Amino acid sequence: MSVTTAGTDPTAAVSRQGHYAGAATRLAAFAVDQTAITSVFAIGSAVAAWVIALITADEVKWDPDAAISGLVFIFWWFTYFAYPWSVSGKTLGMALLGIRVVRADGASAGPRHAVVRALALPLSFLTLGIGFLPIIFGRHRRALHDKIGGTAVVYSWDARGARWRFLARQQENDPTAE
Amino acid sequence: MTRADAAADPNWGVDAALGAASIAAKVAGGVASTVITSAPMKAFGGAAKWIAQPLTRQGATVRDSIATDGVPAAKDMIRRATPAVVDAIDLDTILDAVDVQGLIGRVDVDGIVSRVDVDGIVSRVDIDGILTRVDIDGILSRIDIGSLLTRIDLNQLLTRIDLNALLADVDLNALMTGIDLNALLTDVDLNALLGDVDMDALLTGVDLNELLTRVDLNALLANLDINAVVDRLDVDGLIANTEMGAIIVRSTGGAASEALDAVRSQGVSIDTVIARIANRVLRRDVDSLPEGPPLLVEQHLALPAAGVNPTDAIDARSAPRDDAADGART
Repeated sequence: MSVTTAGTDPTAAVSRQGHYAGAATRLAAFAVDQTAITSVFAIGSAVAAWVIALITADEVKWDPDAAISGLVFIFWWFTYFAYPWSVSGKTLGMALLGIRVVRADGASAGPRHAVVRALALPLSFLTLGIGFLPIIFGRHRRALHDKIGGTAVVYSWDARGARWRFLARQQENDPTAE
Repeated sequence: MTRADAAADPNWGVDAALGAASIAAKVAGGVASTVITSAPMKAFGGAAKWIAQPLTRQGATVRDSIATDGVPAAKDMIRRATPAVVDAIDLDTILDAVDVQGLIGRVDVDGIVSRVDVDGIVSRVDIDGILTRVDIDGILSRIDIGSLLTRIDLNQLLTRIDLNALLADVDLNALMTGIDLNALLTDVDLNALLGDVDMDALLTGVDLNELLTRVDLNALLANLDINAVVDRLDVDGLIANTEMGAIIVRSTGGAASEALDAVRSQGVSIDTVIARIANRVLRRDVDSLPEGPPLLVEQHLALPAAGVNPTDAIDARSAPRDDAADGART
């Protein structure tokens, strides 16, 4: 992630707040979320093993192929997505990329929509990625799990703040410039 | 008159004759009265009346003819003679001989006027009939208003008017309700009116502090659409031309915020490219595509995608959304 200089306008491609989000942004947000899920799970597993070893004096090793590990990971994965969507409509990655989950009509997504969407999300992968294609070719850019959950993903990033920061940076670097 | 005076008067003879005649007339009158009332004279009168009957009838005929023919003839003669008589009369000489002032001085005017029933006379006058017969326009057209007004000392006139007393009798509410202010104002050229107003002099006399203390700012702000006001602000120009820019830079996250802005804007750019390719592949009408969920679009929460021109990257609430969206969808 490169730091933007004052010479380039970060709002050259301004977000469309409330418009359907595109595939690249959603993919980037999902990548961030997956990284966070995996990292947190790995760190959490290590901490748990260390605490158990500290208490029982026995060395604990997590087997990724073990059923218990898989169940814990799935539960963590489901919780990571469902809870933030039901509360704020956005996960960590979505917040960074400036997108959020809403109902199909634009209203805020509730717990039911969040849970159904999280449960339906694996189906888009199980269909060999075909479930994601509507994000590119669909009129409403809604993936399979969006249609099942009755949701949509929109830009929530207000580019005005970014533009003002850009102008402010320019003004600070060159006060004579208009 | 003494005897000496009578001896010296040359008319004493005439006077003496007149005195004797007067005494004789009185004596004759007394004798005649006595004779007329006596019986022989009454018998003599009846006989004379019987004897004079033919003469009486002749006399009555003559009197009737005089009444029938003589009066009109006399009137005709008077009518013919009157102009000549009037012409012969020198009225100026007569009037010069009359003491008109003395005559007027002897007339009791107050007494005459007090006996006149003015109300009765006025009530019998048909004022409307008189006024309808008056050619007001003709009269006014003959009046030189300009010269008339130049002869009037308006200041002197106005000083004699008690405006307070005049206005005290005026029912302003009734007056105002009868005025069609809208029709009145439509005829008023406010620009011309205000053009003649010396606003500097007007504002000099206004105590703005006093005025503002009487303004209910809370009520004023309650009716103010702050969002609409903010939307009209040229925030870009404000930031570029004031110290606000430096304040924003110091108060925001700095490099982290800019990095986030860059990532998001790059993501939007790639999304735009992908959408453009997909639309071309599918040969889809871009204008028919929905921009977002109905509630968000209807509430104008969406911001425009203004392409690559930074100056177009402005708030969607103040920019035509369709034009801005074209840049993103094509």
